[in-house]
Amino acid sequence: MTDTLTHAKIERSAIDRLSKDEPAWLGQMRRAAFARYEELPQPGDATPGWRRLSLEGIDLHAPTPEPSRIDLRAADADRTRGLVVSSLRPALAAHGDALRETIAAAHLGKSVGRYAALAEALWQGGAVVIAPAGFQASVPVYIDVGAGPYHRVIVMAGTGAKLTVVETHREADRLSAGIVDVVCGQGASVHYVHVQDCANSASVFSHQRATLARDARLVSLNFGIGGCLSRSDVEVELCGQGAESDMLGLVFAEGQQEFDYHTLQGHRSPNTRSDLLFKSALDDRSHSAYTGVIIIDRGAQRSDAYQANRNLLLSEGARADTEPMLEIEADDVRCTHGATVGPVDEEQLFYARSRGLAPDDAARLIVDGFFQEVFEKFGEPAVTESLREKVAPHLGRVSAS
Amino acid sequence: MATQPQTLVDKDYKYGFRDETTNYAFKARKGIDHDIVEQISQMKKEPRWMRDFRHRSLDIFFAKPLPPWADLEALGQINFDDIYYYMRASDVEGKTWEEVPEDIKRTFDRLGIPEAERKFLGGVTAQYDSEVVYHSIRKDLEALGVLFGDMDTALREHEDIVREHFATVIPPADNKFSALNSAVWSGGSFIWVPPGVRVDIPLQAYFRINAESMGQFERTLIIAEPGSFVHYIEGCTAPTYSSNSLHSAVVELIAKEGAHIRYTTIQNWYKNIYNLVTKRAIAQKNAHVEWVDGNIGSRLTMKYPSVYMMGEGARGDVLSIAYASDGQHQDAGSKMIHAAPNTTSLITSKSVSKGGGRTSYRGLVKVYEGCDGVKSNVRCDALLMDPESRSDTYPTMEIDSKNVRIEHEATVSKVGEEQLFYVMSRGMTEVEATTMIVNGFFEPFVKELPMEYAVELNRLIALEMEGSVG
Repeated sequence: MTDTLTHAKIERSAIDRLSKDEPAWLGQMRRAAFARYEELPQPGDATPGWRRLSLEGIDLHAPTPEPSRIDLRAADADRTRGLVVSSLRPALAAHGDALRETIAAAHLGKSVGRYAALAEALWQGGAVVIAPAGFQASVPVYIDVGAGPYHRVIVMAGTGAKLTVVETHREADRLSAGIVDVVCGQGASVHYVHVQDCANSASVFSHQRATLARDARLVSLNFGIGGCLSRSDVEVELCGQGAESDMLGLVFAEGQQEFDYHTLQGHRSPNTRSDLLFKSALDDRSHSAYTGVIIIDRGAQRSDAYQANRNLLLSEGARADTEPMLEIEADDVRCTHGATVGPVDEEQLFYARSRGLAPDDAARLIVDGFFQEVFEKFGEPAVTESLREKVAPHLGRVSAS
Repeated sequence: MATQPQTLVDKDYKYGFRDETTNYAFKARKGIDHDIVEQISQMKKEPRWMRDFRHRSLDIFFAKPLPPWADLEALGQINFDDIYYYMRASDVEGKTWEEVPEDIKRTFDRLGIPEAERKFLGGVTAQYDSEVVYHSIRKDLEALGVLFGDMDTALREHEDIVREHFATVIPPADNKFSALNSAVWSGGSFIWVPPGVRVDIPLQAYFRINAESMGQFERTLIIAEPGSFVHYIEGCTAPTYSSNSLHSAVVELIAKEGAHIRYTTIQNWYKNIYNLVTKRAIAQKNAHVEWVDGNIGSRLTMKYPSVYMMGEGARGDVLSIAYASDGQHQDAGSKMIHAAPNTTSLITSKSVSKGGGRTSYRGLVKVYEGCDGVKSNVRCDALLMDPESRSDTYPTMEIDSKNVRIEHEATVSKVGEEQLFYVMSRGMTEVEATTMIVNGFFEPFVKELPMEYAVELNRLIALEMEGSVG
């Protein structure tokens, strides 16, 4: 274990410095979030929600706040039509009221853990995307996070707005933590991609929350390939009738990488639909721990929920834990989940080989197909093609044995 | 439908009568401490090692917290100081039905034990309160060398076998309730099947609780020597009482190489009983263990029959149903531990929640590193009968080996309107149609039961479905 004395304790005064040019309400929330962080214990092997992970040799102490490096890209044509794509701090002045509402609604939700609280307290860099009512984006908005320990992203889609946001993380910091809030207004349609492509030495924490108003639709994709330890909480709250969410996840892990995804499909209103597909391909001694819950509230009748976690073990030392949960308090529902763990299917291998493919090529083809299902479900080839390219070099290592 | 008050449910409870038994030969005081444990052990004239084991277990019980993941709202209502931990209704232990005391017989008559015996019983061990009062073994079982009796007698007459196997599957420290049972256990069944012997007739025991605030802590140990087979059936009903009772059994099964054990339970405890049971089997090489487990009664049941597959080729099956109505929580499931290659497990769980009842499936499939060729399939189906009820599914899979095939699937839904419409179009009322559909839902379980149990279960479900519609 790392000596705790080598870490400078983060003082509350750090928040005073951060919030000096910010609205007072934000400073109060930062301080409350920091208090939450201090209350929650440093995770260890026995901490509930953490015990599946091997934390040995991983330094989970909070880093000192530092500025983030975040690049934002959006079409000029979209900006002129009213799309706001901005760093978070300057946006506080121009769009303070709208942001305040979103930030207050997300403030210290009960699922907020130690690192999400830390990000809320100490974020320095951040991004805001606001699509006004009726806005239709022509191209995706890109948020590229290159460095910095704490950040915050807010995406707001107004009534009937349609847009795609791709958030990519390439930090090399020892530890980074971020929170993301996606607010989908009535009838809005949002595609959101979260790419975790950080340095292989990094511990990466992400807490993503989405709320969907009536008839809104959110298609999200979490793509994990970097970091040594990656813990993500992905939560979707279907608050308005007719809201729909497709939640996709894809992990390719190798070496000793650990991916820990926690998902929530919250059906809070009737006639809502959610569909979740999280897949992981695990090579070497990598490890995936998936925990997902579907909650259907009392009164959320005619909810339709599906949840699937598929794990492909590519190596003897790879491990997968999966815990798909249901908590159902309404009766007129359709709710199903499934989970599988296993190696590349023998029959599929045999079939591919009978077509003349070498064994290793056959295995690669099958793993590629395993991923392809997720990309196709996401439905935006322009976005997923680049993800596919990221996986390609890793696929080369896959073998049939 | 409005939530049904408890009093209405009471009226429907089939076994809700109470015997006038008051002449308990021995009645311990309420509460638990080392003195009570010492008294129990002395009354039973137990060997030193068992007495020490009880005292050790009691310390573990005191030290262990309640499981944090449990339904603590319900568990928290148990007052451990307000429970009798040992009591016996009679000092008589009959070999034949005629020798059993009259008032106890009356209770069993109403449960249909003699009838069951006439039809197919190989042997009967009927537990009344904490002590076994009735016991018979068919002569051919004796001739085969099969030992079937109560645990207390087994400890006296077959101490070597008991000592070798007792608490080797479930140590006292496994959980708070196994520790409690280990400290105060009394009664339960003991079965030992010699190598290569097949017991073709199911062995059967009925258990009852019949004293207010009395806990029942039976301890069952079944040992199947290599190549043997045995089917054990345990059914539970309990009479009406208002204050909470605790039932906390420990059941250990040991299936040695190539042996096959089937264990069938239907628990229909009265709806104020806490049924907190630890059931676990060890399956050695090529052994096969099946749990057939029905949970209909009790206030809260926590029961997760497990199979630890320790030898290559071992197999574990669990087939379970759970039914929860107003005020009930059936927290049941199964654990399958694959600790050897080429082991196979199958879990099929079905649950129905009605009138504000809650069912939870809680399970684990664990595959240790280096265990190739493991196959496991878990299937959970839940039916919700009304908007007040609740269903949870908490399965866990921990897979540390590559060449395995692990599948889990669960669904939650209500009775299909199309199914209902179809059956009603054939002239049935909505209640009849619903009963038929629920019976059909439980069918894979029911068809694994002996005839009398199947008939009784179907009746129980029909009774429970009354008033479930409209």
